[in-house]
Amino acid sequence: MNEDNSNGFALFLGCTIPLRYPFIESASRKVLNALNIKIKDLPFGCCPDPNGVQSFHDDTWILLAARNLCIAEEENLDILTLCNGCYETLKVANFKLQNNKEVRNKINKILAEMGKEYRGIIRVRHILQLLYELRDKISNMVVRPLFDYRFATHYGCHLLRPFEILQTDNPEHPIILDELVQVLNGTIVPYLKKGMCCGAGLYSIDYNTSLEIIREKMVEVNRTKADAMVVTCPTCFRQYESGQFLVRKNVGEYYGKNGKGIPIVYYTELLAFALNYNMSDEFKQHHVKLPFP
Amino acid sequence: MTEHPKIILDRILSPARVCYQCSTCAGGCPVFCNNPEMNPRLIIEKLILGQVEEVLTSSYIWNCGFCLICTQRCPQGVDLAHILVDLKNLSVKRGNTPVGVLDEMKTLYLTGLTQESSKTVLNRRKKLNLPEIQYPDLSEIQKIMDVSGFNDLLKLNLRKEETSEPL
Repeated sequence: MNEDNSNGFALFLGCTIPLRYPFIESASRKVLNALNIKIKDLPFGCCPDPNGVQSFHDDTWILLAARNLCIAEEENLDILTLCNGCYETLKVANFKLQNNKEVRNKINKILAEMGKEYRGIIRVRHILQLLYELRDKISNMVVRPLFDYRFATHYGCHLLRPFEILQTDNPEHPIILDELVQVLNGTIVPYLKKGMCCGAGLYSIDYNTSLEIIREKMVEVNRTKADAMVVTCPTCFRQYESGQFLVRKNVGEYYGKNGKGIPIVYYTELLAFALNYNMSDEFKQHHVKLPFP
Repeated sequence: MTEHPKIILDRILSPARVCYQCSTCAGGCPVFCNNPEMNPRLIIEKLILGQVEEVLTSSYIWNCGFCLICTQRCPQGVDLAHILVDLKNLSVKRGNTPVGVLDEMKTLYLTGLTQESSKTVLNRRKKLNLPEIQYPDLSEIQKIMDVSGFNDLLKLNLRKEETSEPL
């Protein structure tokens, strides 16, 4: 295990970011490059989804997660995730496999058939944790400070829970994303229901309730007249970015300036912009136009 | 890998018994606030009272979005979110998986990922100068899913979906 990560990380993109929101990947690669963090791309499969796959068959859930962990172990690299779901699945599976010999032996028996063995020698980290540790360095690198902008932050459930295993931040009152926005000189707006789930887990099962959950949050964010909402997960991104228009269709509520929608932005997009990268190609791929020049 | 359903039921029930019905779980549940049919407190109460069959055959267990707020806030340490995961696992064994979840599982088995690639996105990737996607070794992933029993469950649920009468 290398504690200082001087060899870099295995970048775990997951499914949604590379295949649906490549601009999040692009911004994240720019940021990691600017901070001199080496990354390696590996042929990972789905993490798999902590809600859907675990609910369907939890034995397969931990098996597929173990397989991904093995792929990073073979390179002796810690995993760096960009998605809250991937983060929870891989970190929780890693924890269970490290601490439960019985489960590990059972899993390894099956993995042995494909020449793999889980050894428990790497860590799983979310990019937000890494950036938080580097916040002083980032602060000195800001070229385009975001003085003029106000942001509502949304952390997402699977970045914070289960707290006993993830230990990312205080799960009821998290601060790391707020501080990372403030490092870029952006202003944080407080709002009600900040800790509320995005409702993605219900989207394909109970569509109307999922939209109601989105609506509750959008009403509160809209009240703050924030310039954008900052997220750290592609699934939360999807819920709010396209979900606010589905809510509009359902109940006729309009959000954002002139009712044109509230821009949703993944944190590394904001960071890449502040570090003076040309982000016009990335920003063009959003449904709602971002407020930056 | 598979456990007997009776053993799983014992595993589900014993940690639920310490629940004293304070309703902290329901108060924080984003689903319950909008769809009272899904009531985490009531699910635990029914389990304690032995109405397991009723809970298992209900569709509302699938309305849990797995946000884990209930688990985090429970003063008695009842891990409701994972109790619901166990219940859903049992519901799958009876072929009662909702269509939305089943579609995701089908994509996972066929591609090793839960999102299908589209030309539009691949073009966007090119525009952003992103590297080629490194797709996983599908045969290995499918082999895991064959050995674990995932594929059999998938087939069982797909068959049930085909034969079920439209409402």
